[in-house]
Amino acid sequence: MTRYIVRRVLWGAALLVIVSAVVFVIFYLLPTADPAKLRVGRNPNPALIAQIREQLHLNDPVYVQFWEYMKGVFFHFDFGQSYVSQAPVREIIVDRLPATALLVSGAVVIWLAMGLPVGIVSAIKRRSLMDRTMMVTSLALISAPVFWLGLVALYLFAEDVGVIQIFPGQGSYIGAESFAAKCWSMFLPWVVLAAATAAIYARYMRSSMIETMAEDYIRTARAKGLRERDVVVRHGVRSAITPIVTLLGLDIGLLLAGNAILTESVFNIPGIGHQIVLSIRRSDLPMIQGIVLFGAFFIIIFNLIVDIIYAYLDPRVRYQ
Amino acid sequence: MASVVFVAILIVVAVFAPVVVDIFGAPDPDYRDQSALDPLFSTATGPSSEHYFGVDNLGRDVFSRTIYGARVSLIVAFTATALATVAGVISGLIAGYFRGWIDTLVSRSVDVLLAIPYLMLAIGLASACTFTVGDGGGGGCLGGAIKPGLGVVIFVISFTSWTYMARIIRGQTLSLREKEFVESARAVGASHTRIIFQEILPNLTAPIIVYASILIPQVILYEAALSFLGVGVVDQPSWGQMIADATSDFSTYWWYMLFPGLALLFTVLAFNLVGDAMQDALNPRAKKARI
Amino acid sequence: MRLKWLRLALPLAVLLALVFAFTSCGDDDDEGGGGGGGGASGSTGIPEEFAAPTAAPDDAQKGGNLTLISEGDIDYIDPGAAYYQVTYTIDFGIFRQLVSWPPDATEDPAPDLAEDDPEISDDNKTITFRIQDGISYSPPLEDREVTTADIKYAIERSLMPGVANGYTTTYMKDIVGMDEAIKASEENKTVAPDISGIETPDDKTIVFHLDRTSVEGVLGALSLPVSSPVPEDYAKEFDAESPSTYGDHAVFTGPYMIENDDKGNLTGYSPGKEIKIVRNPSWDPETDFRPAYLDSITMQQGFSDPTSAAKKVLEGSAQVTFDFPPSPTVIQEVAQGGKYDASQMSVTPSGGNRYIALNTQEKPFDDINIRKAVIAGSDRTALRNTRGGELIGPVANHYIPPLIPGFEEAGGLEAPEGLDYLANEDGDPALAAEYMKKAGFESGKCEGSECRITMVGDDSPPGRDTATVFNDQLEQLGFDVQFQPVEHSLMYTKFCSVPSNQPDVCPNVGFIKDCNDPECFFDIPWYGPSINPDNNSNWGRLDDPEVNKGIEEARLITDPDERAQAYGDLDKLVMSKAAVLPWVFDNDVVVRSPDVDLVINLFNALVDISYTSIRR
Repeated sequence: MTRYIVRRVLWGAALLVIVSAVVFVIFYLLPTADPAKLRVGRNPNPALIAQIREQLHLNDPVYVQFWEYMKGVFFHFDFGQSYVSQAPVREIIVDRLPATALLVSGAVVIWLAMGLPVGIVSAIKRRSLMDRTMMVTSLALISAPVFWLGLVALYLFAEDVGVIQIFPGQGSYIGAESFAAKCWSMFLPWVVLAAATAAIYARYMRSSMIETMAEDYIRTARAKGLRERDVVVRHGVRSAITPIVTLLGLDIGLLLAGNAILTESVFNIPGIGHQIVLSIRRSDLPMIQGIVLFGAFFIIIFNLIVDIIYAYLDPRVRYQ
Repeated sequence: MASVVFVAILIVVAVFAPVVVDIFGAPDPDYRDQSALDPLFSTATGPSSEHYFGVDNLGRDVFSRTIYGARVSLIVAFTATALATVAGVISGLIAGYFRGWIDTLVSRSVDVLLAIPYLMLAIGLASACTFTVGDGGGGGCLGGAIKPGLGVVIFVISFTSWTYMARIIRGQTLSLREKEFVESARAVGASHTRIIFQEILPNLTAPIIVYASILIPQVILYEAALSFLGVGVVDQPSWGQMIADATSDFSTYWWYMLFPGLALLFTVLAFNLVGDAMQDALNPRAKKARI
Repeated sequence: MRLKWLRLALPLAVLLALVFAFTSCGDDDDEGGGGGGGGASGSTGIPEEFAAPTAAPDDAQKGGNLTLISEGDIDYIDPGAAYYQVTYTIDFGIFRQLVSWPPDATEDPAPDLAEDDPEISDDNKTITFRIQDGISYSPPLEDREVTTADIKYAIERSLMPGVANGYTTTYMKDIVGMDEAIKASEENKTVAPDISGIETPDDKTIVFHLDRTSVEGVLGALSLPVSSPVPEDYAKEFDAESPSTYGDHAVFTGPYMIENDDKGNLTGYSPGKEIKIVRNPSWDPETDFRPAYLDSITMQQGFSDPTSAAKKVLEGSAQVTFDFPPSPTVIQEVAQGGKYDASQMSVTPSGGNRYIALNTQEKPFDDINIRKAVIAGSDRTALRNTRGGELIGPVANHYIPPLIPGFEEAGGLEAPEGLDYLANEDGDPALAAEYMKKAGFESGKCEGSECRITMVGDDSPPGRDTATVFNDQLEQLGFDVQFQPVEHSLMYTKFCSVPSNQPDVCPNVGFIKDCNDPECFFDIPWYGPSINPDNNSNWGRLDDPEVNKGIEEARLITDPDERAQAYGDLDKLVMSKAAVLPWVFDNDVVVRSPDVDLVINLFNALVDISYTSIRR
């Protein structure tokens, strides 16, 4: 088991380095305004520009720049400075992370709380009216673009502009002071982000349950005279939920890495996703590299956790 | 099924968009009707007898733009899916069949690609490929072969989606190559090419169709997301872009948020239902289970 | 004094007449916004109910925190480097200058650190100021009094490459010794050069010796943050770095300051997020014309949606919008009354214009007939409408905006005489075709390979909408346009302001005044020699000897009427070169929460934090 973990961790670290290299090259192609010019004031002096270029290693070949960057990241945890605001990249990322973390955590809770029970019930009451309704509804939710759902939710329920004015609207997170106010401002974003995922999980749970409940040991349990409820919950759900755990880990990793971009954009939440869109538009190279590296880190970590859990549960995997 | 009919209608509408728009008497999607804007504040007006779905803030008819938007969505959907499928199948096949270093190469590449948040990668690639070079340059990636607009979007989506198909096909190939009919073919001395094309590939047809049809609606949403963020298709009417335009004023201009959104919803829903139906029909495993 | 009033009154009357003629031609729609008929205020065509309040009410209350709702950040805290009107709003509350702008001043600045108006010698080549006693810096330098040596240092350090002020070398270039100082700053980058023409005979006196009579330009520049005093021994170590880090350790002289710790490090500035401004304990109200009602000001940044942000302000408390106008739908809602009170919105000419620049150095726009055709064929009203209706500003028919001397002389709201291609705001396709024929295109439309042109514009509304509309208009004239939308600042720093990489069309450029004198409108964007390879603001790339000569001569005129006439003529001259397509004279639209007693500073048309108060 330990050997498996060690192997996976080593590969994870190697992956991180490879990803940084790939990203470095791709975004190196992005035409930035000369960062040295961005740093200097309105009256750029060629001598000063040359000096700053020297400082930023901009005249060195790509691999030297990459090496300098990697050294900074791994030894000093220094991701450089934003071309636009000259603030350290690390500071900006750490600043933006809480908003994304709050958005993701809340959404996770809601989509698990809604998706799993719906999936289980639909599986048990298969082909009933409720099952069909649930499945069609979830299909509709999956089919709607999340940013549109966000706009519709705002149109209907936003405090400032909605038809029924209940929940805080766009940009309300920025002004929120207390933790409670922040959570309240996240209510609509949570629901919107959770909606499509809840639907996916419901469908997954349903098919997973259906497969599990067809297994032999379930029949045995019933034959032994256990109550139906025990059969379903203690045996059925426990097995059916394993693939969901995998999915959950991957999804959380992806979302923290910035896949909440669309929700953050619509609701004007100053998180990592919003920041990356801004940074790409401004060709702010160090920010882009920093955020993508950060995101890759989350994805790799969560993948690792999921793999380890899976290896723990299923010994066959370890020997691959 | 109703959804197949819907998809067929959608394809017809997309192909014959100009005709459809004409039939309904709506103006050209790029025509800016100044008279439909408020004279004092230059704000847009809603659904009326002249403009069934209202106009946007430049005075362009939302109905015709919604109809034309179908073109973009469908072109991207089919082309990108096709490309991603082809690339995915080829890489999955050779990885699964030959194993060894080829498999390592393909699988590790997939790992690297999957480690990068795909939306960020897409946005970054799309931005990088859209810049013109100096004045008069053509822009685009790969020496101008990929032009800004539809070309870039299709490239970016295919590039970040082939991994999905690759993994599945690799898995299927791995299990198929152990089957008896493949063993016997090998025993008889058949070449690799023969085995791949005549034994394995035919057995992959079902999963390819199923997963491709699952991919299509995802690609449609993906393109809409990219257009919404401003890096997708911007020179032609596209549903994602229209919703993006509506974002600042949707509370007043609900019409150009609603109609493209509904169009997206119904289109994706229809394709999802078709995909579901494909899965039920071609995937025998699902049928076995019963409670 | 009285002559000055007359000079204003006459064009005002003319303008008023024009405006009444204008608005009575509009529709009599009852539904239409409250805009039209009611008393138009002065020379700007802006309805009375939206006129900017420029004085605090008599019963203004002290206390409270005002929140400035903002999309972007200021450019620099360092007063030597700051160059945005938006930054000036903050700067006017935290830094004091020799002369400064009370909210209602539109002609000349008022003495601020100075005891009185400056003494100007008879030959118009010497300016002498005496500054007040007892003005100290904010903590941690609260025991240190401001001396004129600090002002001299502030101007000298602005030449250093690590500070790189954008306007000192233009407007103050006639100060004796300026050229030598500029050279010295290029050689020694870590120490501020000495400008021999600035003398400080004692701690309270400062004398500016000029080579030529460009007094107005120098005074204008002295009203900007660059003349905010900077103590040399404190700032030296920061200025030795490049770029200078003084901005992170600045000391303040205004009624307010940015929060800092006892070592002078600024703690109240989080870039891209927030600026916390608090009262400056060293500030002595006896020495200042500012009342400073507010206890603190917070600038919150990151509001990228103008509709929801504006509504948040309209419905909230103690907030104002800062660096963006509300979207046209919100403007409409407020103007039409009902949910919000019309008085919550104020509209002020920004003192800026917007135009489309055609690259005169490259084909096809090196041909003046083609340029005239493009201008004639463009529906500039449609362009203006992409930003909003009439409240957002009148269609521009020439260059100098309203309220700046020279505006009337150049034609006011009409096009300059004789320039037929600017005569019709809605476009004149027939005239456009004629000019194309003159350029050699028989069909009246562009033909051939030179018709493939590149355009780089804003990627977000409303700039992108303007570019889209113009794109259409160009295509109607036969051009094949490659339009690339990019982020706003990137558009400048990578494309439009970099001559080597400049596209054929830059549709989203414009100019806003650096000061209230027309010189501040011409030197930078039209003077051939000021074309800079890295940060060029002469987007038409015009280097015309006639224009250059005109600019050089006009700055030396001292009589106000002659000056206005000279610049008006210059405006017409520049328009006759057809290098740019002017389309709007911008208004700044600010909305406030119901409990804010807003005061707008007419200099930058934005909130004045030293005069605004909150009604509790």
